[in-house]
Amino acid sequence: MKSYRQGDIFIKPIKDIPETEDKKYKATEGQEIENAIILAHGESTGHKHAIYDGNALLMKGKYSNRFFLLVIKDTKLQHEEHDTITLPIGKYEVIRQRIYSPLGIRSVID
Amino acid sequence: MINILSEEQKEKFIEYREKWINIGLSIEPANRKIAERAINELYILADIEKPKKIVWCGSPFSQELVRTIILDKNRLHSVSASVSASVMASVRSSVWDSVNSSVWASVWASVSASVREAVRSSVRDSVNSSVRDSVRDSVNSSVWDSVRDSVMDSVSASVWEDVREGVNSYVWSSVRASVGDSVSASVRKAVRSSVRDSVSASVRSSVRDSVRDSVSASVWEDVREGVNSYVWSSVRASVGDSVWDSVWDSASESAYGQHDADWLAFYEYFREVVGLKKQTEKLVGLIDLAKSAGGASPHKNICLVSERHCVLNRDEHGRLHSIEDAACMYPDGWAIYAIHGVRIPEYVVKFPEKITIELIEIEENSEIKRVMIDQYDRDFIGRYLQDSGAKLIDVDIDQYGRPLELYIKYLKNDEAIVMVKVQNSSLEPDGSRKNYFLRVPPHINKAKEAVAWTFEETIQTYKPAIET
Repeated sequence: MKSYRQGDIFIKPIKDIPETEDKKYKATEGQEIENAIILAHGESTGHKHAIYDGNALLMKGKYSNRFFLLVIKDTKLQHEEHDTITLPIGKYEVIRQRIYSPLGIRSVID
Repeated sequence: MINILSEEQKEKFIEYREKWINIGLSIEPANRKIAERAINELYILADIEKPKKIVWCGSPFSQELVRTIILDKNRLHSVSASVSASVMASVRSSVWDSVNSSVWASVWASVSASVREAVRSSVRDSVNSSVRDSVRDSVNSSVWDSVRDSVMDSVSASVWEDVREGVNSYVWSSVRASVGDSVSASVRKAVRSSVRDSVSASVRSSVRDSVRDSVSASVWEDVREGVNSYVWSSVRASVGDSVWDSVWDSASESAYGQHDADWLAFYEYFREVVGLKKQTEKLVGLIDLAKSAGGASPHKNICLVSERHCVLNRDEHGRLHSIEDAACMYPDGWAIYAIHGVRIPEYVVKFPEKITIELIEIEENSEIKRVMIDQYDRDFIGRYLQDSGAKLIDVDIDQYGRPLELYIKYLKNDEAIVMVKVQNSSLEPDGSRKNYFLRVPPHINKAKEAVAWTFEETIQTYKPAIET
């Protein structure tokens, strides 16, 4: 299984979306743009890493900040500034790029 | 004797938590009518004669200055320089620079005409900034500390004489009958020995004992668990440490008001939900005061009371925080500047362009230094690293042949800043690629390891098949 990177997002294949987390993760769909799932939103640019074809489900942690992607059919990950990446069927963890700070680690905001 | 809390009573935990968080964080103008009534009630309940005069101040800071001017009579008649010194001495050095003309105006508006007249000749000079500066220059730090300590002690004592009376009479009237000698002794000791402690701490421990006495041990545990975790601790977390400490540490050491939200929530719950009216009767004045004003300093014959904050900005952890303006401000203009709870000089927030490498280097406080570096980098992360002569410790290329550079900047009394310089994968309109810096933990010494770390990976596992 291959991993992918689109800007500040790393898509890492995983064997399974954690069993024990199943109940805590809820599929989200259609945020802001109809039929789109948004993996990450740039706060300053408004640009987003998004899937529009409905072939994937984003599993969002209810109690944690981890995100998982369940790709049901080959799907396209799109972004305004980065080339589109085709993700094959599979299960992935979506990892947002982070930066270190003595006060705490935080996500990169583009 | 109450032996158990009903489900309905437990459900009220959240309501009381929310209600008192809102009280503690309120930025509404004080309700002066209710507050003055509450102050009178407070005196009556503490068996102290009602104050002859209630003086409103624009901020806790002004309140502290007024308190010093009014109460420190001896110094009012001394020469102007020392009066200025004593007035200023009541204020911690950290807030010195916060004194601006509007605060002084508010102080003077709060002081009655007769007092003003009496002190005018000697204190007048302290109103203008050049005198403030000269006083500051002429009073060196050792003199300053001794003056400050002596002034604070005398003022504190006069406050405590009044307040302790109220606390004691309340505690004793409600506790004596049923609390054992050892508990009584420990409460007494706690009150006596904690002149410098905050009022809330001693009132809280005393009143808690009296409430405890009204319920059985098992229910007490239940209540403590429930109320503490749902109401007390969360209100404290939201209001207490962050706001209370910043505001009152800066200016005032003994006042009651909205920032007592944590423990007043606790007792109002018992009062209204559990029905312990009698046991909490003495707190009614304080509860109403907290709901209607910033905070009051009760003294014999006179009570000083402050407006509430009118601006309050906090981060997601509830700490005072604003990177653009004051994190906390009062109606008279007195303000606290803070980033993620770190109190900083005004210019760091309002005029970050004035921050220089030299100013960062000489800053002794590492927390403030971190904030200054962040502000220096506000438009371009890595600017401080570049301008301060950071050392290049690793050069590499990524899988597409793009350069990677790792830099380290050692700081005095703080961990080193390590940043990796990378190139954007997408092209700019002119065909170039933008560079940017990412800070990584200080132990990292390879550029590739640094990039992998930013995605929670290692050099071995970070191998994207496609990168766009």
